[in-house]
Formats: sequence, structure tokens, C-alpha cells
Amino acid sequence: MLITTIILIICGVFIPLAINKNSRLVNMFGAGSVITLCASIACIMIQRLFSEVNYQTVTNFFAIPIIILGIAGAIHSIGYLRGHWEHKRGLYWALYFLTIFGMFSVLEQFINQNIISALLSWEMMSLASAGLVGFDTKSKLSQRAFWTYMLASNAGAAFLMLMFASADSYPILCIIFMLIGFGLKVGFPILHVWLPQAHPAAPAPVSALMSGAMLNLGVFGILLCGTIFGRDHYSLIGYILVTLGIIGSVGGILFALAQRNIKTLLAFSSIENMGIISMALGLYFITIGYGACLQSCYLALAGAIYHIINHSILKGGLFLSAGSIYKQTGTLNMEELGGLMKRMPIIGRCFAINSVGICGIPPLNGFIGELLIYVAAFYGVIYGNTCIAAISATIAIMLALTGGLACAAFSKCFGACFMGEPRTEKAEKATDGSPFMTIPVVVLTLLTIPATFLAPLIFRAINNAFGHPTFMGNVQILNCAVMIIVLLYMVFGLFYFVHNYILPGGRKIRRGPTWDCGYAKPTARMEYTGTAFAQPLVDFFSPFLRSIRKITRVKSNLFPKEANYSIETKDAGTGLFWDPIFKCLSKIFNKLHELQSGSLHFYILIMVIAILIMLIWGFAF
Amino acid sequence: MYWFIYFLISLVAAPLLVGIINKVKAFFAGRKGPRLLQLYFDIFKLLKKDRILSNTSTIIMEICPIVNLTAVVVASALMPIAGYPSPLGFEGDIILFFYLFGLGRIATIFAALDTGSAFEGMGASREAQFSAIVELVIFTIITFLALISTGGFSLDLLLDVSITNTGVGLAITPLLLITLAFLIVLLCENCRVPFDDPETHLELTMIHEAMILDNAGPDLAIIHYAAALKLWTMSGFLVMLILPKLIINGFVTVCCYIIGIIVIGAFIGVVESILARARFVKIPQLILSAFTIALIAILLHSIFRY
Repeated sequence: MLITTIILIICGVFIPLAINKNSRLVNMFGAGSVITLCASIACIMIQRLFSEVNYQTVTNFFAIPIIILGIAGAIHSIGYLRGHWEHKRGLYWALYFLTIFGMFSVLEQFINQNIISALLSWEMMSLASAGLVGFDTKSKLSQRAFWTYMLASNAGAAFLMLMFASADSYPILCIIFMLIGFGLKVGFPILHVWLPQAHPAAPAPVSALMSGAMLNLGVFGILLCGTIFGRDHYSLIGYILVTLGIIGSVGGILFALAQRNIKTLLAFSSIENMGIISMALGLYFITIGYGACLQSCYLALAGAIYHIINHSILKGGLFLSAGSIYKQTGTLNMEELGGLMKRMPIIGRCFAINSVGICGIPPLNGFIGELLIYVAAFYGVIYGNTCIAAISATIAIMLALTGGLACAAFSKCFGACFMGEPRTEKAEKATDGSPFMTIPVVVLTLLTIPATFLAPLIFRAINNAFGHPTFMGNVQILNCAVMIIVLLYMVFGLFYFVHNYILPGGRKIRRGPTWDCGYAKPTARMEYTGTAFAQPLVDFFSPFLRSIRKITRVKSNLFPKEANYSIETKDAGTGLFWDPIFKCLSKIFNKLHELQSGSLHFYILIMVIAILIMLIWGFAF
Repeated sequence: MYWFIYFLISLVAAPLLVGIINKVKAFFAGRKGPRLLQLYFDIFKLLKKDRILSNTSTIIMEICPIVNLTAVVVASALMPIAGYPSPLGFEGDIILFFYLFGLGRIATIFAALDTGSAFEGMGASREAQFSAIVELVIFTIITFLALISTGGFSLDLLLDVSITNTGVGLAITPLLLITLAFLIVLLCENCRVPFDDPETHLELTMIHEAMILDNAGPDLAIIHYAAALKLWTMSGFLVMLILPKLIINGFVTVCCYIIGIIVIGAFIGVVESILARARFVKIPQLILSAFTIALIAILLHSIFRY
């Protein structure tokens, strides 16, 4: 085992760094060792399923996203790196390998409770991924994202250390440290600031990996460490998680709706999905805290885990598609795209399926996860006591609002990028690109099929891993839901057949220009843009979003001249919370800077004062 | 068996409801109005026509009307009638029921954006906005139904016993409020006045009609039929909400429900005749007032119960 690991590390880290020049060989070694690593972890996982000791099977649900996205990202990277960063490929692969290696060892060390190695691997994962976030050293945005991410992850690690330090004596403090430490990774509201900066800056495969697999590790940590505290504190953790989840999900999707950059939109949507997951986890903690309403409790946990897997698959596919778009057009700004469905048919179809899935709309896997959470919440309403009922009702209603807003956000994203006519020349020349970039996206999209139809099996597996009983009634729900989804496909097939082969009766489809109220030749300039699409909702929620509008008009006499309108929605966590704090801090430190005046007398005075204080301290205590 | 008969009746009779609404509106306007079966003739005529698609459009435009129809048909197959649950029903089917309408809606929005037309984008944008907020009201209503439920969370259990559970007298007020909230949801989801005017001729003021400007022939027929079926199904939901459980005779029950739906159709006709379409900026407020009504109903119910 040890020797295999060492060989893998040499192949994955040192050889790519050494043979930086030969791009083909670097790709081979880099991708090869990542895939080998993922495959061997998969083997260990399968082996564990059949072993006696099964407390470790919990890690499977968090390892699956890493394996899937690790492999998909590695293959996608080969295409993504083509023509990018020729001289730094070795470094990319080394960091990529270390990120994945770090994530696996985080899982392993946390479940085996080796605290020191757990923290070390947590740090390794954060540092390696930070290197990837700031990989584009020439871009200012990327560097800023790098710093934010470094700050966030190091602060997170510091809070985790504090958590372990205070675990025995101050449980309440420990819970707060835990929620901040892991929350910085999960992206709870206010702690989420690194997400919308890091995701657009990082290379697409890395964003996919970070959003789909790394955020889950924070949830894993909360789930694992939260259960240590014992009954008395479960409800407290639960209430905090539900509150954070509600703010995160509704706030996240609202900000997603207002974005122009595809990857920023996806990053905010990750915050939303993590919010949904933490709502479900919160419900789980509250119900076991009360020791009541167990159906709701197990369902909520199963829903959260199921949603994690779904989110990984779907968001991975979306981020990789965004990477393909960036590679083809050189921009991530939705308003410069359009008409990509015709030019990138494979990516377009996958993007459509994934975005419907991530809104939680049937017949895709996203729905199954949300169904579990909804049923858990409504069971809480029906069977729970007043407190559980009130919390569950809030969760259900907020989940519904989130779902509706997610539909709007993703129809905006999909519509603006893929539908209509291309708005700029960049979009006009796009193609699907190399098979290295399309195949991972297609495979991830196809993975939604087993994730939908194996729902009852996965549900059982989740319950077994956590040692929860599986109620027949709950399995029945999933069986029926899957059956209706099959029915949906069958009815669709029937209608499609009738509509396309029987109804036309030999007549062909006629084509014509889009009817645009009498314009003979509508152009892309007349199309509704993404910003315009989202404008009513953004306006409606403007008190929360605080978008900045800019209208520039050229002064004209009789006939109006060209005018510009732009609207930008900046992250509220940065603008309203962190920026003032950091500004205040920098003011204080600037004041302190005056101490460093350069005059020797002043320094001596300071030293004397310091010695005096120490003397007084020493005598007094 | 009775459920199946009812399901077949609803599939066949759905366009009739639109005819009833139009007749009532014509009566109020003092016109003769279109025939009761006009929508059947329209659909039949459209089915015989050629299919025309925009040059800009892609596969999305081709399949989305069918996705919409599939979603609505399967959703209507989930609806129970008094005492006769749907064979497809299960615990939690009420969520699937409303999410299937969501599938139909997102399909329509995608198809509208696919054409690249400014008007269709406008319609899609409005639809996305209103439906996002309506979702809030719908799930508040479901929460209320779950609160009064005696255990069990399937459409037929939730709807069937609603009046028996709250009891009569003062305790029925929350249910009436919920009915009012759902009526507003129904009007909004089905694009009726005061949310959207199905008869408007100006693209700028349309929502649903604007989204389907580029659909022609069989596609348009499918969309009209799906819209009618959705209206019928949601009216059925409303009838189930207010009618007490009837276990007399299967045939009588089915008749009662159909009469109930017709009454709701007539009511929608009256609403459309006496109200004007609200301004777009006012619509979210209208939906939020429905949300408030539903919340008040939940509070009242909690007060009456304890």
C-alpha cells in the first residue's frame, strides 16, 4: 500500500514537474496518475462495502464525487490545457494530483480520527487548490481570487485547530469554531466570499472539482464532528444550520440570477445548493436533538447526501461545459455569447439537461434529492411537535422559492448562452471542440440516468452507511417516483413518435425567419439579453441585491444617439461585511504604522514602556 | 375504474372549460361569442396544418411542446377524485404534481428563448418571474394541507379529507382562505386575468401568448391543449379543496366534480369580465398577497387547533 502510494505520488507530482517540456508526456503522466489514484480509491471503496467494519462506508458518498469529478476533470484538463500555459503544465498536473490526493486523505484521516494528519491533509488540499485558483499569474482577477481563497482556507484551518483545542472544555465555543471552520469551505453566507471569486478565476476542471467535490468535504466535516457533541447540542447545531441554509439558498440563487459571468452564476448556484444541503442537515440535527419524528430525520439526512451526489454530477457537468465555452469563445460573459446550441450541439444538449436537473425538476436526478428533502420537511409538519413543524414548514417553503428562482437563473444562463443568434463574432466560430472536452461532459450527463433510476438502492445504501433503518414506506416513495419518471419518458416517447411520424403524414417541416412583429430580418441585437431576462426579478429583489446601474448617454439634439446601460451585482458578503471590516483594520494598522517613525528616541521610549509593563505584570501576578 | 373514467373524461373535456369561460365572457360583453366547442375545432384545424419552425430554433423548439404536454398529462394522471385515488399516487405525489407543471413551464421558457425573438424573451422573462414567486404560495398551501392532514402525505389523502378535518363553523375559515389563495395561484399559473390576458393582441402586454408566438400548426395545437388540460386539472384541485368527501355512488361523485369544475370555469369567466389585467409591476404584489392569505390561514388554523 505504502509503496503504491509513493510510486503514485512520484508519477503524479514529481515526474510531471520534471518533464515539463514534453507536453504529451506530461499529460499522459498527469492524467494517468490522477485516474489511477481515483480508480484505486474506487477499488478500496468497493472492498469496504463487503467488509465487516462499515463505519467507513460513510466516506463513500463523499469519495464518489471526488472520483467522478477527478477523472472527468483530468480528461477535460487535457483539452483545456491545449494552447494554455504551455510552460507550466507540469505544475498544473502536480497541483491537480495533490488536490485530489489531499481530498481523499481528508476523508480517510477524519473518519479514522487522526486529528493531526486530518488537519495536515486539509491544509494540503487547500494549498494545492489555491495554487490552481491562482494559476493564471498574469490576470489580476485570478490573483485577487487567490488571496481571498488563501485567506479563507487558512482562516478555516485555524478555526478547525481552535475547534480541536476547545473540544473538551467549551462545547458551545467548539460548535461555533466548527461551523466557521467547515463553513468557510462549504460557503455558508458571509463566509462564502471566496466562492464567487475563485470559481471564475480557476481553470474549469478545477472549478468543477472544487464546487462538486471539495465543498462537500465541509459538509462531511460538520456531519462527522457534529455528531460527537451529543444530544444536548444537536438542536443548537440544527437551528444554526437551518438559518444559514435558508439565507444561503435563497440569497445564493438571487445573486446567481443577477450575474453575467457564467462561472460566477454557477458559483452562486453552488452556494444555493450547499444551502439546501445544510437546511436538510439542520432538519436532521433538530429532529435527532428532539428525539422525535424519526421518519423525517432519516429522510432529511438521506436527502442531504443524495443532493450532494446530484449536485456534484450536475454542477461538474455545468462547470466543464462552461470551460468548453470559454475555450471556444474566449469569454464567459453571457451577453457576448448566444446561438451556441447550433454550434456546440453536444455541449448545448448536456448543458440543457444539467441545468434542468440542477433546478430540481423531474425527470432528472436533482428532483429525487429535493423530493426526499420535501417529504422529510412535510413529515416534520405532519408528525412533528410545534417547533419541528414550524421549522419544517419554513424549510419546505424556502426550498420551493429557491427552486422557482433556480429555474429563472438557469433558464437565463442557458437561454443567453445557447439560444437565439450569436451576439458577437466570438460566439459565431465556436465548435464542440476536442473529444477530450466533450466526452467528460457527456459522461457526467449520462451519469444522471443511474443517479435517477437507482434512487431506491442509493437510498438504502445511505441508510445502511449511517446505520439508520430503512422504512418500507420511504422506499415506496422512491419506487413510485422512479416509476412515474419511467412513465414520463414512455409518454414522451409515444407523443414524440406520434408528433413526428404519424401527424405530419409525409409533410415536411417548413422553416422561416423568427416572427418579430413585422421585422423581416431579426438580428441578434433585437434578442432579449440575459440581463434583460433577469431584470424583473432583480428589480423585485433590489433591496437585497443592491445592483449598481450605469447609464451613459451621449448628449444629442433631435435624434437620440447610442446609449449604454449596464448593471452589475456585486457580492453582498464582500461589499457589506468584509470590506468595511478590512478597511477598518487597515486604518488601525496604518495608525500603528506611525510607531515606525524612524526616530531612535521613540523606539527606545517604546522599549522602556514595554519593559515597565512587563515588570509591573511580573510583580502584580 | 371510476378514476379511470374520470381521467378519460378530463382528457377529452379539458378544452371545453376554455369554451365555457369564453361563453361566460361573451355573455357579460353582450356578444354571442365563439362556440362552446371552438377550441376543439381550432386544435383539429391546427393539427392538419404544416409544421413551421424558425430558422434560429434548434431541437429545443422541436421537443419542448411535447415535453410540456407530457408533463401536464402525467400531472393530471396523478389527480385523484373523491374516494378514488389515482393508481399512480404515492406519498409525496403532491410535490411531483406541482413540479411536473414546473417541467412544463421550463420547457415553454426554453422554447421561447430558442427563437431569439425579443417578444418571446420578454414573455419568458415575465413567466420566470411570476412562477418563481407563485411557487412560494403553492408550497405554503401544501404546508397548510399537511397541517390539517391526519397522517399521510399523498394528494388523495391531503385533498379528500380537507373539509372533514377542519370541521365546520368558525374553523372552516382557514380552509376558505386557502381556497382563495389557490384561486389566485390558479389564475396566475394558467395565465388568466388579472395576471395575463389570453385575448390580448399586443405582444408587449402578453405573457403566455408571447412565449408561443413562433409555434405554428401541430405545435400550437399541442400547446393549446396542454394549457386547457392544465386549467382543467388545477380547477379539479380547487374543487377537491372545497368539496367535502362524497362517498355516494361513483357516478354521482364524478358528476359532482365535473359540475364543480364547470362552476369554477364560469367563475373565471366572471372574474375575467369584471376585472382588467393588472399592471406588470403590481402582479408580484398580487401573488405576495396570496402568500400572505395562505400564511394567515396557517396561523388561524394553529389558533383554532390549540
